[in-house]
Amino acid sequence: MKIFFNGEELEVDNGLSLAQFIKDRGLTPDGTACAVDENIIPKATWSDFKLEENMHLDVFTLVAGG
Amino acid sequence: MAIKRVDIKGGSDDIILPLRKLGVTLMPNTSGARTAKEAIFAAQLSREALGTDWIKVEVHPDQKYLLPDPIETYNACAELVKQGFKVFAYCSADPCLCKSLAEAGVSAVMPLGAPIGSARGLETLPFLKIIIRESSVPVIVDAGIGAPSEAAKSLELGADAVMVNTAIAAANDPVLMAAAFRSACEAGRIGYEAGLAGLSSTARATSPMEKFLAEAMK
Repeated sequence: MKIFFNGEELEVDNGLSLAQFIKDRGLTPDGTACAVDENIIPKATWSDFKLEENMHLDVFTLVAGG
Repeated sequence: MAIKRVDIKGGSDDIILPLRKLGVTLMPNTSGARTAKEAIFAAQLSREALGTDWIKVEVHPDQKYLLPDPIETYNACAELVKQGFKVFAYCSADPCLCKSLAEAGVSAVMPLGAPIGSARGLETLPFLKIIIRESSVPVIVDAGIGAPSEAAKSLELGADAVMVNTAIAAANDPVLMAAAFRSACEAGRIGYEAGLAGLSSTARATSPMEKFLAEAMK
């Protein structure tokens, strides 16, 4: 299925969890935040949160600096 | 640390883990936000990412000077305090604004010495003095500090801390420069605690000399 990851189209497996998606991208939960349609998805729910067709997912991380 | 969208091609600079190993407290900021709304969203993302309710609020719509927008900064700070954040407000060296921010419940004000990264030092010195004297919350002199002597000066005046990035990061030897800033901060703080001698427009003799010379010459 197709999702929008940080504004770009991406093919992912049906029923993929947000936790697995983050892991597949080589990211660690520490220092990472996710939002769907600007609603923040709490980390504790990532395992149960399933990605859906055409979902707009934004993933953020922290970088050094101000 | 600033929150950014991850590179969709993958990879990251993996800076979190080595910093966590140092045992330091990581301080997120809202750098990149141009409005209060964007700053609030960045703060909420940062809280989720790092598990901290500390946030340095920065709102600078103008990219040339990166000066903080006072109205958007105030609105963001007031809302984030209501949402339970410990807010550190990067702001202009404006005593009235700093007072309003303190009344809104920020944990510290961070008035600027000069534009971010400019290394021009304490150009706002007269106003920093007022803010330090009058503030009911800690004052952290932020932005523009280019030399250790300016950090020492800030602490000597009674500032609670300084925020320094470019002056250290862009030095020929950043580690050595960091050591210099540490010494400067310690000297400045001790100088403040010791209490500076007051200024005088005329000389003040440090030993009683009124009679000695006159009598000896008789």
